[in-house]
Amino acid sequence: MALILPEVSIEDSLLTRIRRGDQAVVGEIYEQFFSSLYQYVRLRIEDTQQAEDITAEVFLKLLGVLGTARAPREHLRGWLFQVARHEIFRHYGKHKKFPLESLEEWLPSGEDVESETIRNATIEQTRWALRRLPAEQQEVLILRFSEGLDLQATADVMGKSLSAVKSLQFRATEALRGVLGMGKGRGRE
Amino acid sequence: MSNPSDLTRDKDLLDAFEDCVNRLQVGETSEAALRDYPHYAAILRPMLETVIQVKRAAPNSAEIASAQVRVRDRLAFRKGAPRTQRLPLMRLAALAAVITLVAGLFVFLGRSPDQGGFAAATETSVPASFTPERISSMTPEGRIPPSPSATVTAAPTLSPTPTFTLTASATRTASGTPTNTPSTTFTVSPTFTSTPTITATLTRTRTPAPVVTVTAQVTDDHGGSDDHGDDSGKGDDNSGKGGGGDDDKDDDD
Repeated sequence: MALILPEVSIEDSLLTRIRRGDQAVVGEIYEQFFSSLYQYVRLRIEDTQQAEDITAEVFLKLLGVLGTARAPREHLRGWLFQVARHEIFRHYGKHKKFPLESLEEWLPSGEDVESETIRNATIEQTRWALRRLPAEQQEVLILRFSEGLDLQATADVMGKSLSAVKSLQFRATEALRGVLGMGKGRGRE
Repeated sequence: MSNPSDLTRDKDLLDAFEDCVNRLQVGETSEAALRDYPHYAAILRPMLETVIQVKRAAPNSAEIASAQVRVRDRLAFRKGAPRTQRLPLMRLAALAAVITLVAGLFVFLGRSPDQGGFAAATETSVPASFTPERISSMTPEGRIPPSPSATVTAAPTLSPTPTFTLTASATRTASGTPTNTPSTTFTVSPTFTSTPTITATLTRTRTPAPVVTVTAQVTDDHGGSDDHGDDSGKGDDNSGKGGGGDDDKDDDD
């Protein structure tokens, strides 16, 4: 799904209204950022209900800081993703539950499987494999490739330098490929 | 293939990968992007396939749309009230507390006086021989069942929720008329606190039974009385609010 994130200038205007404590701005931010935030969360949280809870928490946090000193002052998008990231960490800290199925269980079993089934299985496999990567690798892959954030925005969210993100995304892609068994004859890393 | 940690030292390779990713993001195919990096194509091609896989793994638009509606509804519900107050929950807590209070008081009042309750208090607290016809003037002494107080603290199992504390005291006031009909006064003092603690206790406190002097004067003509009892039974101001100061209370549940 192609994501269209708001322009930076629009973000600036939103930030101004946040600092003023304008409650209506939350609705606008919700409409503009919900999809990308939800996708980011959903790719890391298997359960849709929990993914919704976490996404909702991001906007509640925003409501809570409206007009306060804790309100985001710059990089609204980065602030939102950081809050989502924090909530995901909290979630895993609380539950520590990960899917236990082996990758083989997700693989198509026969030659005559419908192509749509294969495609769906591949999507599930990818989600499954993503969740098995170290947290930073998951993040960089989702932010960069799924959310379409550019290098700078990803670096802002993750609190890393551009070169660190560039290197991390490369390593993460390699690792995911290894988990998915896409590297022929390489097996999983 | 080389070890990934080795590959990440190749700055040109990292830049080529970054460029190819950006071109995929704007709709170019991986083959088109790789044409500019033929010397890295063998390494980058499978990696770009993985990038495409990640893009495809995003939840579909139908799931996002329905999630957006559900979360919006949830936020709309919570946006109206500051998160620390949560008035709807408080109302539920109040309702639960009132129900618990009423149920507790019914149970309490349904017990016999020797159990500390009010039921049948009229019959047993006035001796059968205590009739106006037989007594023209007397100063009977009667013992009024101790003034009970019920402290009910209730909160629903909703969490987190503010604690809603209802303190209720039931005080019996006895008059000295032969019928000795007790009157009962209930005082309910709600107290709201924001402590996210859930407690549900029902404590009945008995204070030492006051001795009440009832003066009854019965005239031969009317058989009635102009008596009035000392309503000392209600002098128990410590009967409510968490049982504070009830050093000598005893729970006889």
